[in-house]
Amino acid sequence: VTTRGRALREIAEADALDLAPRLLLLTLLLNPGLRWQERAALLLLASAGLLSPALARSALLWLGLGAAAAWRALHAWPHADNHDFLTLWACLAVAVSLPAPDPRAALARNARLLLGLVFAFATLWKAVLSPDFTDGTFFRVTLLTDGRFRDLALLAGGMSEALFEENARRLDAFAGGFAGAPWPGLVEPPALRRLASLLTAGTLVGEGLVALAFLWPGARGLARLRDPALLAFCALTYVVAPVGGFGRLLCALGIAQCGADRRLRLLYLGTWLWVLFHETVPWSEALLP
Amino acid sequence: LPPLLLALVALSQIALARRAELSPWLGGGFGMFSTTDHGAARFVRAVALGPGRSEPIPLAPDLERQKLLARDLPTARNAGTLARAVLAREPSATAVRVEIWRLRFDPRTLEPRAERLREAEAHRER
Repeated sequence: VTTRGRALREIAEADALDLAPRLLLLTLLLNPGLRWQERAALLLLASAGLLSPALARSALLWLGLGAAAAWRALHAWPHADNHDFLTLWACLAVAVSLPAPDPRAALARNARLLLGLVFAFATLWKAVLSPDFTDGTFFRVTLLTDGRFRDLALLAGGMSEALFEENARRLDAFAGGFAGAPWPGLVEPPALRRLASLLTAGTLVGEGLVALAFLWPGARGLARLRDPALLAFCALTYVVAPVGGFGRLLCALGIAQCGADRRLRLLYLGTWLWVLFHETVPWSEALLP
Repeated sequence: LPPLLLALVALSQIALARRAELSPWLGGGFGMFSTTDHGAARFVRAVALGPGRSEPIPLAPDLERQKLLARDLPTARNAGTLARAVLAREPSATAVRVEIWRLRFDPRTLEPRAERLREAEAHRER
Protein backbone atom coordinates (compact mmCIF):
# COMPACT_ATOMS: atom_id res chain seq x y z
CA VAL A 1 0.00 0.00 0.00
CA THR A 2 1.44 3.36 -1.02
CA THR A 3 1.72 6.33 1.33
CA ARG A 4 -1.03 8.06 -0.64
CA GLY A 5 -3.26 5.03 -0.33
CA ARG A 6 -2.63 4.84 3.41
CA ALA A 7 -3.40 8.54 3.83
CA LEU A 8 -6.66 8.24 1.91
CA ARG A 9 -7.67 5.15 3.88
CA GLU A 10 -6.81 6.87 7.14
CA ILE A 11 -9.06 9.80 6.21
CA ALA A 12 -11.86 7.60 4.90
CA GLU A 13 -11.88 5.40 7.97
CA ALA A 14 -11.28 8.06 10.63
CA ASP A 15 -13.67 8.38 13.54
CA ALA A 16 -16.37 10.95 12.71
CA LEU A 17 -15.50 12.77 15.94
CA ASP A 18 -11.93 13.24 14.69
CA LEU A 19 -12.43 13.98 11.02
CA ALA A 20 -15.23 16.56 11.00
CA PRO A 21 -13.92 18.67 13.92
CA ARG A 22 -10.40 18.59 12.41
CA LEU A 23 -11.68 19.83 9.06
CA LEU A 24 -13.70 22.50 10.82
CA LEU A 25 -10.61 23.63 12.76
CA LEU A 26 -8.65 23.84 9.51
CA THR A 27 -11.50 25.83 7.97
CA LEU A 28 -11.43 28.27 10.90
CA LEU A 29 -7.67 28.69 10.59
CA LEU A 30 -8.06 29.68 6.95
CA ASN A 31 -10.72 32.33 7.74
CA PRO A 32 -9.85 33.73 11.14
CA GLY A 33 -11.19 37.27 10.54
CA LEU A 34 -9.71 40.56 9.49
CA ARG A 35 -8.77 42.31 12.71
CA TRP A 36 -6.28 40.94 15.20
CA GLN A 37 -8.85 41.10 17.99
CA GLU A 38 -11.01 38.71 15.97
CA ARG A 39 -8.16 36.51 14.84
CA ALA A 40 -6.17 35.98 18.03
CA ALA A 41 -8.50 33.72 20.01
CA LEU A 42 -9.72 31.75 16.98
CA LEU A 43 -6.17 31.13 15.72
CA LEU A 44 -4.90 30.11 19.14
CA LEU A 45 -7.76 27.73 19.95
CA ALA A 46 -8.00 26.22 16.46
CA SER A 47 -4.23 25.61 16.35
CA ALA A 48 -4.32 23.98 19.78
CA GLY A 49 -7.18 21.74 18.67
CA LEU A 50 -5.35 20.66 15.53
CA LEU A 51 -2.17 19.87 17.45
CA SER A 52 -3.91 17.89 20.19
CA PRO A 53 -6.58 15.31 19.27
CA ALA A 54 -7.64 15.21 22.93
CA LEU A 55 -8.28 18.96 22.90
CA ALA A 56 -10.21 18.68 19.64
CA ARG A 57 -12.62 16.38 21.47
CA SER A 58 -13.07 18.79 24.36
CA ALA A 59 -16.41 20.57 24.50
CA LEU A 60 -14.65 23.39 26.36
CA LEU A 61 -12.39 24.09 23.38
CA TRP A 62 -15.42 24.31 21.11
CA LEU A 63 -17.26 26.54 23.57
CA GLY A 64 -14.20 28.80 23.54
CA LEU A 65 -14.22 28.85 19.75
CA GLY A 66 -17.95 29.55 19.83
CA ALA A 67 -17.40 32.43 22.27
CA ALA A 68 -14.71 33.90 20.00
CA ALA A 69 -17.02 33.62 16.99
CA ALA A 70 -19.92 35.12 18.98
CA TRP A 71 -17.75 38.04 20.03
CA ARG A 72 -16.87 38.63 16.38
CA ALA A 73 -20.53 38.52 15.30
CA LEU A 74 -21.68 40.83 18.12
CA HIS A 75 -18.76 43.25 17.98
CA ALA A 76 -19.26 43.82 14.26
CA TRP A 77 -23.08 43.84 14.46
CA PRO A 78 -24.79 44.15 12.03
CA HIS A 79 -21.82 43.92 9.69
CA ALA A 80 -20.66 40.41 10.53
CA ASP A 81 -20.84 38.14 7.49
CA ASN A 82 -23.16 35.15 7.27
CA HIS A 83 -19.92 33.17 7.32
CA ASP A 84 -19.26 34.48 10.87
CA PHE A 85 -22.68 33.36 12.03
CA LEU A 86 -22.32 29.91 10.47
CA THR A 87 -18.91 29.57 12.17
CA LEU A 88 -20.59 30.32 15.47
CA TRP A 89 -23.40 27.79 14.95
CA ALA A 90 -20.95 25.11 13.73
CA CYS A 91 -18.68 25.53 16.79
CA LEU A 92 -21.66 25.38 19.13
CA ALA A 93 -22.93 22.28 17.31
CA VAL A 94 -19.65 20.46 18.03
CA ALA A 95 -19.61 21.76 21.63
CA VAL A 96 -23.10 20.45 22.45
CA SER A 97 -22.66 17.18 20.52
CA LEU A 98 -19.44 15.99 22.20
CA PRO A 99 -20.95 15.40 25.68
CA ALA A 100 -24.13 13.79 24.24
CA PRO A 101 -24.78 10.07 24.95
CA ASP A 102 -24.20 9.32 21.23
CA PRO A 103 -21.91 12.15 20.13
CA ARG A 104 -21.56 10.95 16.53
CA ALA A 105 -25.30 10.86 15.99
CA ALA A 106 -25.76 14.21 17.76
CA LEU A 107 -23.10 15.86 15.60
CA ALA A 108 -24.61 14.42 12.42
CA ARG A 109 -28.12 15.59 13.44
CA ASN A 110 -26.95 19.11 14.34
CA ALA A 111 -24.91 19.45 11.14
CA ARG A 112 -27.81 18.21 9.01
CA LEU A 113 -30.24 20.66 10.59
CA LEU A 114 -27.80 23.56 10.31
CA LEU A 115 -27.28 22.85 6.61
CA GLY A 116 -31.01 22.52 5.99
CA LEU A 117 -31.80 25.76 7.79
CA VAL A 118 -29.00 27.75 6.13
CA PHE A 119 -30.30 26.78 2.69
CA ALA A 120 -33.94 27.21 3.73
CA PHE A 121 -33.35 30.81 4.81
CA ALA A 122 -31.17 31.51 1.77
CA THR A 123 -33.97 30.19 -0.46
CA LEU A 124 -36.62 32.13 1.46
CA TRP A 125 -34.70 35.35 0.84
CA LYS A 126 -34.17 34.64 -2.83
CA ALA A 127 -37.53 33.11 -3.76
CA VAL A 128 -39.93 35.07 -1.57
CA LEU A 129 -38.49 38.11 0.17
CA SER A 130 -36.42 39.63 -2.65
CA PRO A 131 -38.43 40.28 -5.81
CA ASP A 132 -35.31 41.58 -7.54
CA PHE A 133 -33.80 38.10 -7.35
CA THR A 134 -36.61 36.13 -8.97
CA ASP A 135 -37.01 38.63 -11.80
CA GLY A 136 -33.30 38.32 -12.64
CA THR A 137 -32.38 41.91 -11.72
CA PHE A 138 -29.90 40.86 -9.04
CA PHE A 139 -27.66 38.80 -11.29
CA ARG A 140 -27.98 41.24 -14.20
CA VAL A 141 -26.85 44.21 -12.10
CA THR A 142 -24.22 42.13 -10.31
CA LEU A 143 -22.67 40.75 -13.49
CA LEU A 144 -22.69 44.21 -15.06
CA THR A 145 -21.18 46.17 -12.19
CA ASP A 146 -19.81 44.02 -9.33
CA GLY A 147 -16.05 43.56 -9.59
CA ARG A 148 -16.23 40.21 -7.75
CA PHE A 149 -18.13 38.72 -10.70
CA ARG A 150 -16.14 40.52 -13.37
CA ASP A 151 -14.22 37.46 -14.55
CA LEU A 152 -17.42 35.43 -14.90
CA ALA A 153 -19.06 38.23 -16.89
CA LEU A 154 -16.01 38.44 -19.15
CA LEU A 155 -15.68 34.68 -19.61
CA ALA A 156 -19.32 33.69 -20.05
CA GLY A 157 -21.39 36.86 -20.39
CA GLY A 158 -20.02 38.40 -23.57
CA MET A 159 -18.64 41.38 -21.65
CA SER A 160 -15.43 43.20 -22.45
CA GLU A 161 -13.21 44.83 -19.89
CA ALA A 162 -13.93 48.25 -21.40
CA LEU A 163 -17.70 47.71 -21.18
CA PHE A 164 -17.43 46.55 -17.60
CA GLU A 165 -15.45 49.65 -16.61
CA GLU A 166 -17.89 51.89 -18.47
CA ASN A 167 -20.92 50.39 -16.70
CA ALA A 168 -19.28 50.77 -13.30
CA ARG A 169 -18.40 54.38 -14.14
CA ARG A 170 -21.95 55.21 -15.23
CA LEU A 171 -23.46 53.75 -12.08
CA ASP A 172 -20.94 55.55 -9.85
CA ALA A 173 -21.61 58.86 -11.62
CA PHE A 174 -25.37 58.44 -11.20
CA ALA A 175 -25.11 57.47 -7.54
CA GLY A 176 -22.49 60.14 -6.84
CA GLY A 177 -24.90 62.78 -8.07
CA PHE A 178 -27.56 61.34 -5.77
CA ALA A 179 -29.76 60.41 -8.65
CA GLY A 180 -29.84 63.97 -9.95
CA ALA A 181 -27.69 63.15 -12.95
CA PRO A 182 -29.36 61.87 -16.14
CA TRP A 183 -29.27 58.10 -16.41
CA PRO A 184 -27.14 57.02 -19.38
CA GLY A 185 -28.17 53.34 -19.13
CA LEU A 186 -26.07 50.20 -18.74
CA VAL A 187 -24.73 48.27 -21.71
CA GLU A 188 -25.93 44.67 -21.44
CA PRO A 189 -24.77 42.04 -23.95
CA PRO A 190 -27.46 39.43 -24.80
CA ALA A 191 -25.18 36.62 -23.58
CA LEU A 192 -24.96 38.26 -20.18
CA ARG A 193 -28.74 38.40 -19.88
CA ARG A 194 -28.90 34.68 -20.68
CA LEU A 195 -26.17 33.97 -18.14
CA ALA A 196 -28.07 35.97 -15.48
CA SER A 197 -31.25 33.96 -16.18
CA LEU A 198 -29.32 30.70 -15.91
CA LEU A 199 -27.67 31.71 -12.64
CA THR A 200 -31.00 32.88 -11.19
CA ALA A 201 -32.81 29.65 -12.03
CA GLY A 202 -29.84 27.45 -11.10
CA THR A 203 -29.40 29.12 -7.71
CA LEU A 204 -33.10 28.87 -6.85
CA VAL A 205 -33.31 25.20 -7.84
CA GLY A 206 -29.95 24.24 -6.32
CA GLU A 207 -30.40 25.97 -2.96
CA GLY A 208 -34.04 24.93 -2.71
CA LEU A 209 -33.15 21.31 -3.38
CA VAL A 210 -30.40 21.28 -0.74
CA ALA A 211 -32.81 22.82 1.80
CA LEU A 212 -35.56 20.28 1.06
CA ALA A 213 -33.18 17.32 1.07
CA PHE A 214 -31.57 18.23 4.40
CA LEU A 215 -34.85 19.04 6.14
CA TRP A 216 -36.62 15.99 4.71
CA PRO A 217 -37.40 13.63 7.61
CA GLY A 218 -35.81 10.18 7.67
CA ALA A 219 -33.46 8.72 5.11
CA ARG A 220 -35.80 8.02 2.17
CA GLY A 221 -37.26 10.18 -0.58
CA LEU A 222 -35.57 13.53 -1.05
CA ALA A 223 -33.27 12.79 1.88
CA ARG A 224 -31.29 10.53 -0.46
CA LEU A 225 -30.31 13.62 -2.44
CA ARG A 226 -28.68 15.36 0.52
CA ASP A 227 -25.04 14.62 -0.25
CA PRO A 228 -25.19 14.76 -4.07
CA ALA A 229 -27.08 18.07 -3.94
CA LEU A 230 -24.72 19.69 -1.43
CA LEU A 231 -21.59 18.40 -3.16
CA ALA A 232 -22.79 19.61 -6.56
CA PHE A 233 -23.79 22.99 -5.11
CA CYS A 234 -20.38 23.54 -3.49
CA ALA A 235 -18.40 22.26 -6.47
CA LEU A 236 -20.22 24.58 -8.89
CA THR A 237 -21.03 27.66 -6.81
CA TYR A 238 -17.66 28.38 -5.26
CA VAL A 239 -15.88 28.22 -8.58
CA VAL A 240 -17.42 31.64 -9.27
CA ALA A 241 -18.81 32.95 -5.96
CA PRO A 242 -16.10 34.87 -4.11
CA VAL A 243 -16.92 33.38 -0.70
CA GLY A 244 -14.86 30.20 -0.54
CA GLY A 245 -14.71 30.30 3.26
CA PHE A 246 -18.45 29.77 3.41
CA GLY A 247 -18.18 26.88 0.94
CA ARG A 248 -15.52 25.18 3.05
CA LEU A 249 -17.70 25.52 6.15
CA LEU A 250 -20.53 23.82 4.25
CA CYS A 251 -18.18 20.96 3.26
CA ALA A 252 -17.01 20.54 6.88
CA LEU A 253 -20.63 20.33 8.03
CA GLY A 254 -21.32 17.94 5.15
CA ILE A 255 -18.61 15.57 6.37
CA ALA A 256 -19.98 15.84 9.91
CA GLN A 257 -23.36 14.47 8.84
CA CYS A 258 -22.43 11.85 6.23
CA GLY A 259 -21.65 9.09 8.72
CA ALA A 260 -19.00 6.49 7.94
CA ASP A 261 -19.51 6.40 4.16
CA ARG A 262 -15.91 6.35 2.90
CA ARG A 263 -16.71 7.52 -0.61
CA LEU A 264 -18.74 10.50 0.60
CA ARG A 265 -16.04 11.54 3.04
CA LEU A 266 -13.45 11.62 0.29
CA LEU A 267 -15.84 13.49 -2.00
CA TYR A 268 -16.49 16.15 0.67
CA LEU A 269 -12.77 16.44 1.32
CA GLY A 270 -12.07 16.72 -2.41
CA THR A 271 -14.74 19.41 -2.74
CA TRP A 272 -13.27 21.27 0.25
CA LEU A 273 -9.89 21.28 -1.57
CA TRP A 274 -11.58 22.20 -4.88
CA VAL A 275 -13.15 25.27 -3.22
CA LEU A 276 -9.81 26.18 -1.64
CA PHE A 277 -8.07 25.86 -5.01
CA HIS A 278 -10.52 28.20 -6.74
CA GLU A 279 -10.26 30.73 -3.95
CA THR A 280 -6.48 30.66 -3.91
CA VAL A 281 -5.45 30.28 -7.56
CA PRO A 282 -6.49 33.07 -9.98
CA TRP A 283 -7.45 30.47 -12.60
CA SER A 284 -10.00 32.67 -14.39
CA GLU A 285 -7.38 35.36 -15.10
CA ALA A 286 -5.38 32.79 -17.07
CA LEU A 287 -8.39 32.12 -19.30
CA LEU A 288 -9.16 35.76 -20.00
CA PRO A 289 -7.95 37.15 -23.31
CA LEU B 1 -29.80 24.03 20.37
CA PRO B 2 -27.54 25.52 17.62
CA PRO B 3 -30.15 24.96 14.86
CA LEU B 4 -32.76 26.62 17.07
CA LEU B 5 -30.46 29.61 17.68
CA LEU B 6 -29.75 29.85 13.95
CA ALA B 7 -33.48 29.94 13.21
CA LEU B 8 -34.17 32.55 15.92
CA VAL B 9 -31.40 34.86 14.69
CA ALA B 10 -32.47 34.41 11.06
CA LEU B 11 -36.12 35.16 11.87
CA SER B 12 -35.08 38.27 13.84
CA GLN B 13 -32.99 39.33 10.86
CA ILE B 14 -36.01 39.04 8.56
CA ALA B 15 -38.06 41.14 11.00
CA LEU B 16 -35.30 43.78 11.17
CA ALA B 17 -34.96 43.84 7.39
CA ARG B 18 -38.72 44.29 6.92
CA ARG B 19 -39.34 46.79 9.73
CA ALA B 20 -36.07 48.67 10.11
CA GLU B 21 -34.65 48.34 6.57
CA LEU B 22 -31.64 46.32 7.71
CA SER B 23 -29.71 45.36 4.58
CA PRO B 24 -30.80 41.78 3.77
CA TRP B 25 -27.15 40.80 3.28
CA LEU B 26 -26.41 41.43 6.96
CA GLY B 27 -27.52 40.19 10.34
CA GLY B 28 -27.14 36.41 10.08
CA GLY B 29 -30.26 35.66 8.04
CA PHE B 30 -28.44 34.20 5.03
CA GLY B 31 -29.79 36.82 2.63
CA MET B 32 -26.41 37.41 0.95
CA PHE B 33 -26.50 37.41 -2.84
CA SER B 34 -30.31 37.66 -2.82
CA THR B 35 -30.83 41.32 -3.68
CA THR B 36 -29.13 44.43 -5.03
CA ASP B 37 -30.00 46.15 -1.72
CA HIS B 38 -26.58 46.04 -0.10
CA GLY B 39 -23.85 48.49 0.83
CA ALA B 40 -22.84 49.39 -2.72
CA ALA B 41 -26.42 50.46 -3.54
CA ARG B 42 -26.99 52.51 -0.38
CA PHE B 43 -25.80 56.06 0.17
CA VAL B 44 -25.58 58.50 3.01
CA ARG B 45 -25.86 62.19 2.34
CA ALA B 46 -25.29 64.96 4.87
CA VAL B 47 -26.61 68.50 4.38
CA ALA B 48 -25.53 71.50 6.45
CA LEU B 49 -28.43 73.81 7.25
CA GLY B 50 -28.39 77.45 8.35
CA PRO B 51 -30.11 80.73 7.64
CA GLY B 52 -30.34 80.73 3.86
CA ARG B 53 -28.04 77.74 3.64
CA SER B 54 -28.58 74.17 2.58
CA GLU B 55 -25.50 72.52 1.15
CA PRO B 56 -24.22 68.95 0.95
CA ILE B 57 -21.14 68.35 3.11
CA PRO B 58 -18.68 65.44 3.07
CA LEU B 59 -18.67 63.05 6.00
CA ALA B 60 -15.50 63.05 8.08
CA PRO B 61 -13.50 59.80 7.77
CA ASP B 62 -13.68 59.21 11.52
CA LEU B 63 -17.46 58.87 11.21
CA GLU B 64 -17.15 55.76 9.07
CA ARG B 65 -18.51 53.42 11.75
CA GLN B 66 -21.61 55.59 12.42
CA LYS B 67 -22.08 56.07 8.68
CA LEU B 68 -22.07 52.34 7.94
CA LEU B 69 -24.43 51.68 10.84
CA ALA B 70 -26.90 54.33 9.64
CA ARG B 71 -26.59 53.14 6.04
CA ASP B 72 -27.14 49.45 6.69
CA LEU B 73 -29.55 49.67 9.63
CA PRO B 74 -31.21 53.08 9.14
CA THR B 75 -33.21 53.31 12.34
CA ALA B 76 -34.19 56.75 13.67
CA ARG B 77 -31.64 56.24 16.42
CA ASN B 78 -28.72 55.38 14.13
CA ALA B 79 -29.55 58.21 11.73
CA GLY B 80 -29.94 60.65 14.66
CA THR B 81 -26.60 59.60 16.16
CA LEU B 82 -24.89 60.21 12.82
CA ALA B 83 -26.62 63.59 12.39
CA ARG B 84 -25.45 64.74 15.85
CA ALA B 85 -21.90 63.54 15.17
CA VAL B 86 -21.82 65.41 11.86
CA LEU B 87 -23.18 68.57 13.50
CA ALA B 88 -20.48 68.42 16.16
CA ARG B 89 -17.87 68.57 13.39
CA GLU B 90 -19.59 71.38 11.47
CA PRO B 91 -19.33 74.50 13.66
CA SER B 92 -20.66 76.84 10.97
CA ALA B 93 -23.97 75.00 10.59
CA THR B 94 -26.96 75.59 12.85
CA ALA B 95 -28.37 72.19 11.93
CA VAL B 96 -27.49 69.12 9.93
CA ARG B 97 -29.74 66.76 8.01
CA VAL B 98 -28.65 63.22 7.27
CA GLU B 99 -30.38 61.25 4.54
CA ILE B 100 -30.06 57.54 3.80
CA TRP B 101 -30.88 56.42 0.26
CA ARG B 102 -30.91 53.20 -1.66
CA LEU B 103 -30.99 52.41 -5.36
CA ARG B 104 -33.67 50.18 -6.84
CA PHE B 105 -33.30 48.91 -10.39
CA ASP B 106 -36.08 48.72 -12.94
CA PRO B 107 -36.42 45.01 -13.82
CA ARG B 108 -36.80 45.77 -17.52
CA THR B 109 -34.36 48.60 -18.24
CA LEU B 110 -32.18 48.37 -15.09
CA GLU B 111 -32.63 52.12 -14.65
CA PRO B 112 -31.83 52.92 -11.02
CA ARG B 113 -34.29 54.88 -8.92
CA ALA B 114 -33.15 56.46 -5.66
CA GLU B 115 -35.42 55.81 -2.71
CA ARG B 116 -35.05 57.67 0.59
CA LEU B 117 -35.02 55.24 3.51
CA ARG B 118 -34.64 57.66 6.39
CA GLU B 119 -33.68 61.20 7.30
CA ALA B 120 -32.77 62.75 10.61
CA GLU B 121 -31.92 66.28 11.67
CA ALA B 122 -29.76 67.53 14.51
CA HIS B 123 -30.09 71.13 15.67
CA ARG B 124 -27.56 73.16 17.63
CA GLU B 125 -28.82 74.20 21.02
CA ARG B 126 -28.78 77.93 21.59
